[in-house]
Amino acid sequence: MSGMAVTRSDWANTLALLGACLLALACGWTRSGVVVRVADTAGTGTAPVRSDDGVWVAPGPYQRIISLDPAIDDALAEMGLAPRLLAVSSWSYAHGSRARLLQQVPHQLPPGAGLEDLLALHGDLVLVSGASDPLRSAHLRAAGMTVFDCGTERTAADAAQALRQVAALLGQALLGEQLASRFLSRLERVRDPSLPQLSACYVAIYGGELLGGTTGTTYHDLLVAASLDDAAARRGWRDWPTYHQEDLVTMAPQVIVTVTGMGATLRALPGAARIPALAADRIIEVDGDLLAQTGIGELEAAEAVAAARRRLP
Amino acid sequence: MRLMLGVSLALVVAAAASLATGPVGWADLDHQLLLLRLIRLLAGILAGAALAVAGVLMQGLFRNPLASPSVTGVSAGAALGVELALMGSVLLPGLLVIVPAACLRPAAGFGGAALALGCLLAVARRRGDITSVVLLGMVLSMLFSALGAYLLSLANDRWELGRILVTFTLGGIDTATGRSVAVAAPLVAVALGASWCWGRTLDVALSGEHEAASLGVDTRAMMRWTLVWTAVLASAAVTLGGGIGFVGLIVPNVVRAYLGPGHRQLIIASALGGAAFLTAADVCARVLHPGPGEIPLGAITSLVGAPFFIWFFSRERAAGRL
Repeated sequence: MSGMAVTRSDWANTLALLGACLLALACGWTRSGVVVRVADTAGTGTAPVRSDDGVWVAPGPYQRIISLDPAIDDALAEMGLAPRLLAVSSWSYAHGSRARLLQQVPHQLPPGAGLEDLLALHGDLVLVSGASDPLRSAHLRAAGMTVFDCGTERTAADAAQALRQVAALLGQALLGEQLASRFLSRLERVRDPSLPQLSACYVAIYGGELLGGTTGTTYHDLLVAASLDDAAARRGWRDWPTYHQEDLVTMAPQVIVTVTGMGATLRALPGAARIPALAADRIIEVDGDLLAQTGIGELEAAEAVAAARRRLP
Repeated sequence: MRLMLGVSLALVVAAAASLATGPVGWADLDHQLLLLRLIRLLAGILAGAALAVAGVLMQGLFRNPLASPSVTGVSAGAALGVELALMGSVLLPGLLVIVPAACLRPAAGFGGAALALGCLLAVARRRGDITSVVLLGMVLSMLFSALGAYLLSLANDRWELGRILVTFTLGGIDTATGRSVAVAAPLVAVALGASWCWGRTLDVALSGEHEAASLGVDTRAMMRWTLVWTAVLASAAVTLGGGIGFVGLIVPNVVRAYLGPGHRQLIIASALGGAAFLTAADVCARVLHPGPGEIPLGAITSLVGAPFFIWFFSRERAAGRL
């Protein structure tokens, strides 16, 4: 039989396949109300706030907030809203820059917390970061929860914007604006224009991999705040690149910012003498938890890097 | 008959354990949480049955008990589609306004599988022999896996993306939604029915391609549709549960050892067995993890599957069947 011939079984199977596809399409096509959902704001006099994933969420007197965004936890604590938090990430609780203010929050959520863990808390608002799985947010919304995506707060400007939005969502727009402006202006004041500009880059070494952080991340903000010129950004790198040693030689940073304890490993790299920062031993080591801060906690990290930069020869 | 009852009972027990397992006790379970567990259970049943029956079809078509759905490259194609969709949902948030998150993943998964299937069918049509299909399937599988690895390396520079892709690659049905189950259910159900209908033909084809053709079997149609239904089953499983391996290898072989090679019975028992196995593995993923969180489902099935594969391979070699 020729391969081109269409048999009765072909017709039957094609019809079955088409039927299954149409049925699946019918099940999947119905648009859910989660993409654009605005809760009833009549009478509240407040406009809905646009979540980073496109969903409009109505402001309200949320009192049982589950926050999965460490960058926002610190800001909420700073604004005196910690009593309205029902749960925060275990990272914020243990390592956040405002951890002391979060100790009264009833629940900590470990990184592996699943949907069921979140639903079981019966919160009235879930704050997620742009790093969250969009499917999880969709699932939470489908279960009737109000979810607000604060976006990816990779830079100080992003963090300030997220802070303003969340504060507006909680009916504290003025407080949020004040904190955001204060945070950005203090970060700007960390910079000392009288210092000579040195080229620098952030590098950490884990398992032999040289991991960077540049434009589009808090590491770039930290370097700029410490009056350093981000060499990786100049070379067109973005986000969290993985470097080869040759990249460091090419960038030729005069200063390297790294995590406490990693300076010795970097100095021992073969060819370290060809990298000016390592040859001149101009390495700034900062506590890893401090460097990992996002949101308003970034300010303390910037101050630490700037202080170390002033001590450099 | 006894085996059918046994696997049915195993499925009932695994389903009950699945509904009862979670951070919230049975007494405090409200309807929302129960619904969530039910969706997860249905996702496990569908993905397990789909993977096991896809394994039966591949082993029947290639007349090789070590064949699995991954041989055709459709699993890797579906995985690549979902990975692209996940990247798109993070990098292009506007995409989620056009296509709801719950639909994006199945659509991309089926799209990726369709691409692989299209290549396979083109070769099957032109060459018509099983060896060419196997070779192309393996090449496609490697190609799509390599593209998936490239995407993962790109995603690593944005840690939120890297985390999402790694979670998907490790496999798990905890993020299945009611919508994704509803999309997969009719496809899996029809594909199971169609596979059962091809059972007799696959029985005849066990004697060899030429012998089957001399007995009036349209071997090209058999190959074409066996590949199509395998693609439908494998892509449904991938969109529901990500990278879950070994189910299509273990379950059909265990069932065949008791039932013999008759494909119709094998398909029914494997569907039940696959559903029971994956549901039980999902319960283990939740129970065995110390503290909150879960062990990736793909890790559980591989931990069971890899030793089984070695044992089975040794046994088949010793018996002179390989």
